Amino acid sequence: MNSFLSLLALLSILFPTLLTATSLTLRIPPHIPALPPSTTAILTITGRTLRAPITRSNSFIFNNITSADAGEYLLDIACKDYDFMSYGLDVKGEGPVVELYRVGRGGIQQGEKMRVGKEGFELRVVRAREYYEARSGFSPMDLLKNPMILIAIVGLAFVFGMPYLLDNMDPEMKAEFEEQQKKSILSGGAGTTNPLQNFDMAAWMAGKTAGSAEQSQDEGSATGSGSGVKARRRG
Amino acid sequence: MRLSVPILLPSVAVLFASIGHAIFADEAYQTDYHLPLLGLPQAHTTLFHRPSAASKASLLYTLSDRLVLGAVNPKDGAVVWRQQLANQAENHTASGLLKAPERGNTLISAFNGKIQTWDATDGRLVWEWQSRGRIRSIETAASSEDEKDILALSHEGADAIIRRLAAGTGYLLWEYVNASGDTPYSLVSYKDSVFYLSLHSALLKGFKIKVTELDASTGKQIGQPTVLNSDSEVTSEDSILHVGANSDVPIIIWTDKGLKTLKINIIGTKQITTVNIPSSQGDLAEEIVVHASRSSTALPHFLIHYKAANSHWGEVYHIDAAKSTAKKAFDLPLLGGKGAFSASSQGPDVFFTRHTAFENILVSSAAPNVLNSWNVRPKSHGGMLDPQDITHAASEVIARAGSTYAVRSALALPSGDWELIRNGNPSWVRPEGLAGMTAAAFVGIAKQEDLAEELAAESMRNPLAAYLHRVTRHVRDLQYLPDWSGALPKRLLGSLIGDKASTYDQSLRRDGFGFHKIVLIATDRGRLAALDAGNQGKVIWNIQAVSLKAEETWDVLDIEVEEGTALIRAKGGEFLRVVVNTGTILQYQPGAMIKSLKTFVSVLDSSGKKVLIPVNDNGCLGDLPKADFGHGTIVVTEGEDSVVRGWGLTKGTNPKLIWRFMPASGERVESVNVRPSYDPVASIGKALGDRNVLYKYLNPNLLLITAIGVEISAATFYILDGTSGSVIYSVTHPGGDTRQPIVSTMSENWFAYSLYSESTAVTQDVTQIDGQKLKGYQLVVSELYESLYPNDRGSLGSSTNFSTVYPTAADEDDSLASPHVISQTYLIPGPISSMSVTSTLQGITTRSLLCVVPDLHALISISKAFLDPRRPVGRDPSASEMEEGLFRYSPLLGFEPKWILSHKRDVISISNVITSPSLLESTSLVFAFGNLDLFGSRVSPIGAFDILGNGFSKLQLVLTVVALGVGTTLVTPFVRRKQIDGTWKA
Repeated sequence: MNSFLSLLALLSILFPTLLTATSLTLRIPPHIPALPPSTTAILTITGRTLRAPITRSNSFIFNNITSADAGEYLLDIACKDYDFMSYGLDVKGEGPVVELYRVGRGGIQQGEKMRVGKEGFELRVVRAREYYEARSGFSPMDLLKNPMILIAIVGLAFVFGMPYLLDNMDPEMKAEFEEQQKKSILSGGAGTTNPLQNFDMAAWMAGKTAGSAEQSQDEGSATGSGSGVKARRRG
Repeated sequence: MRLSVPILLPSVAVLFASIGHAIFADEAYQTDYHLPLLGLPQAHTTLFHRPSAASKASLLYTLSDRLVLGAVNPKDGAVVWRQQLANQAENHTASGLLKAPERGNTLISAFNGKIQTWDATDGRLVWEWQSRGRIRSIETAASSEDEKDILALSHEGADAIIRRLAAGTGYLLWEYVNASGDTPYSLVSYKDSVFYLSLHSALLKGFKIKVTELDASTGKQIGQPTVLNSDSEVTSEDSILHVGANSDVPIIIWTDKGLKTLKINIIGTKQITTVNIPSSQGDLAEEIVVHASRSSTALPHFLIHYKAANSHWGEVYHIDAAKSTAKKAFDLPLLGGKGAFSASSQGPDVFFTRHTAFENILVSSAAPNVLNSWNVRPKSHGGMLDPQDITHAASEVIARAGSTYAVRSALALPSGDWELIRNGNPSWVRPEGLAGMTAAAFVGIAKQEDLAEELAAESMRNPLAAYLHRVTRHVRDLQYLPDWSGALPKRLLGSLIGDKASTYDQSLRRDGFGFHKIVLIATDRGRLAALDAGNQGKVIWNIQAVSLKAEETWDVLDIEVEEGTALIRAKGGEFLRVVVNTGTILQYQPGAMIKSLKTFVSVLDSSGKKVLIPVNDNGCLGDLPKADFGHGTIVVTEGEDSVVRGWGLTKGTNPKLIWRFMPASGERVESVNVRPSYDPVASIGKALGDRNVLYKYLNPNLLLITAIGVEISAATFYILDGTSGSVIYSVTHPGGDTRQPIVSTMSENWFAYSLYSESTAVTQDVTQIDGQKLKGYQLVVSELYESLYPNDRGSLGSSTNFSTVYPTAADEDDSLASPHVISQTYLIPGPISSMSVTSTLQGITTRSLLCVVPDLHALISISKAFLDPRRPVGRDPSASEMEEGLFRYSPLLGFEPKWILSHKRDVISISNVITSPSLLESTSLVFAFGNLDLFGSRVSPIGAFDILGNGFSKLQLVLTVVALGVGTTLVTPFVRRKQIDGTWKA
């Protein structure tokens, strides 16, 4: 470090016009593993960009910042593995003084300005960059979660579970249930269900009364597919 | 309609997820290809070196002509790490310096005024030091420690400054300023001294070599400088052949201009050994190269390599340190062709390896007998059949017990290929000659027409002959049956298990998906090559198309693809016609025949024939050939005077100047963009969520002109009608930084551009937030519509005619028919250095913007759906907007990792992206190239909807069908019984 200071002293003797320079160290949090050699810290201002590649000690060092570099910069870290927070960086005054602050996109200041000293500044990592989409592979659980499969399973449960439930029912209740099932339009198992299917066109045309038509319908639902023939015979 | 909203919501979510096209882990490295290049390796900066003292294997390091420092694994030729020492903007004429200290774990590079040390294992920076002048020489200080200090000689103004920089930190230890006004040449470190070599102008002509000795620990001058009487020979720096920096005894060797004598001096003494250059068997040496070991522990032996026109030979010298003389030990006999020598050492032993077109010969520096020699098969040399010359070589020799030797040599060939030979066997070839690509084009592979021709022949004959022809054809086809049926089980199994590699077609044939295309590339070194885009970018052929002098470059303007051939047009009217499949040159016209001629453009005349129109540098057209252009054709030229001109061609030989476009004062034209030549439009309108239609402004003659401020920071974008020259739309960005990349592109009815902008006083009130400047990189996307209102075609609606000459005025009332432009700006995290648009067969697929992000070393694909300027601002989208796929506008647009086409690959220095449609509507082929790398991939902007991906498993499908079949069979008796029971019970 002494030699570095002596360099500064020496340079200022050699070049009287040269102003004192400072260096800026940006550190990567210690939990981050070594970043790839393409990682670069970039300072941007109109007409100019400054770049510092990643060093062996996982940091970025901008050397020789003089007051000729004064201005408000944007600091970005171009890294393949991680996204870093965006910062603004002000270089001003003699020395010069370097101040860092968090910025939103567009360079709008969001945090307090912090003066950066010799010890440098630790950058914050936002997230790791994930490049690949995981392909949804075959999983039996996913298959079971499919609504179609769920409907099928419920259907199967009814088909196999209902007879068992019916067998275990109280005989009175069973009779009542069967009665209800007979009345219900949806019931009938393999037999015909729709009363309209049994509508006797010929009988109706022949001027049968509404009552007898109803009667034939009742019969029809009770006796199944043979009813149409009966009705016609009757007419 | 009430019901449709909740149903649509999930579908919008699905769409949203599919907008960001992503790369699947199993497709990465399969569908894309990348050639990470370094540039041509240089003779003095190419070496085998152990990355650290503990490491057993060495890496191959080089600092190339394109100032890329890289480490290559000698086993497979893969790049371990790369660093660019210079920005693309910096000139590349100066060459870089490279030093690899023995037993150290760093490499030291110097370019212009910057010294950088790099970790040899992973390529990360250790420290850097910036000098105010150019670094002329770097040297490692002699020290017993593994980490050695750096000595650097820099030329600052009239002074030569020598500095000692501490190892590991780069801190300055001492500085010595020499203000004698001599030209600084080199540094040599020897024991506790540092010798500073400079060229002192002699009285009459020539230079005397002046040697100044410094104390290595303090930097103080020791005694008076020694001046060597070299003024009769040394006329320039090129006369000095060698400064033996690191061998045990430091030497300097120089020669005269006519290559008559060699002078050898041991640095620090005044004694000069003179050697007359022999002419071996009558051949005269044209070039002399000295090879010596870099190791400080090796014997002080060196080899002088004489290159004649068509032969080469060598002489081995030993230095007698006690007598301060050099003595010839033995000759290496003359052999035909241009060969290369390389020196390497193991402990004190020095080995010289000789490489010719046919063999590798290993000799020890101590005796002339051949230790080993290998026949190099002719298949080496970059796959060329004819034996080639070798430009230079670097070798590593390992002596094993029983006097057997293992030799690895990296040969640089004149073709630009870099080849590694291990014990005479070719190991790998890197096509470094492909670096510096200036133009590229996709070429479709022609259909196999054989079958079609035979079928046509059959239909022409009488039925009997046609029948016989068909039978013979089928019998002939039978010969392929055994092969086909033999490969069938493997193919079936492969397609079931999903083994893609075994089913992959390696031959250069058109495939069903149109992925198999040839990419033609032209480089600035005059090379032309063809790559197979369907086969991981394999080089099909690679030729030297034009011969260039050392400093010349080949400026290819464009490559035009015709039936089976390609026309490559370069600056100055030079053109070349080449057969795409083989690389045979059919026609060549050298350039600069007519002064001020820039190029030719081809225009179709009224009969559909191609006519070449000459364009001059000043933007005017040259003499036209006799042709009839019918109703007229407009040629738009961009002159050097920053004026864009539109020329009308009709009959006769005189082109008419129809319009001129000059940007506002204080601006100059930066670039002119047109819509891509293949830009199909699937729909002339955009269907809105409420079933109305916004009509797109589709003008095939649109020009997008970028003009930038000459002195102030500003950028203006103009949309012009190319036929009339009228400005249709323009937008200015005050504060647009003209030193950052400003790029733009245009397609269909939209255009996009990107720039870095900082607000200035002009727009202060708008962009300042709490007194802060708004700054950053922006991406602006604008869409052009015929009218602001849906179902309205603006002034075109009522008119029956449309004039291309007056596109902005309607025919009757002269009301302006300029399009309605909707724009939106996004803030992006970094610069974009190149922009282009995907292209698909029908143009139905939503386009994607392909942007080169130089900071991330990546190529990114941003879907147009994300960049829709109609995204609602400051509110959530309404139901109908959601149906359109619009979502709430957010000014921030990150470079999502999943959008990065080059994913984890490190793609550096690409500057151009070209696209070509495949036969699948969903997919576009992409090829990116530039100063260094080339990268190719396929992109599906909204997912590959028309092809089964790798995620589709045929095995799973078969298993599912089988399981269903088994299930059905098992359940059938139950169901049947239940049905019968049901019938009976009822």
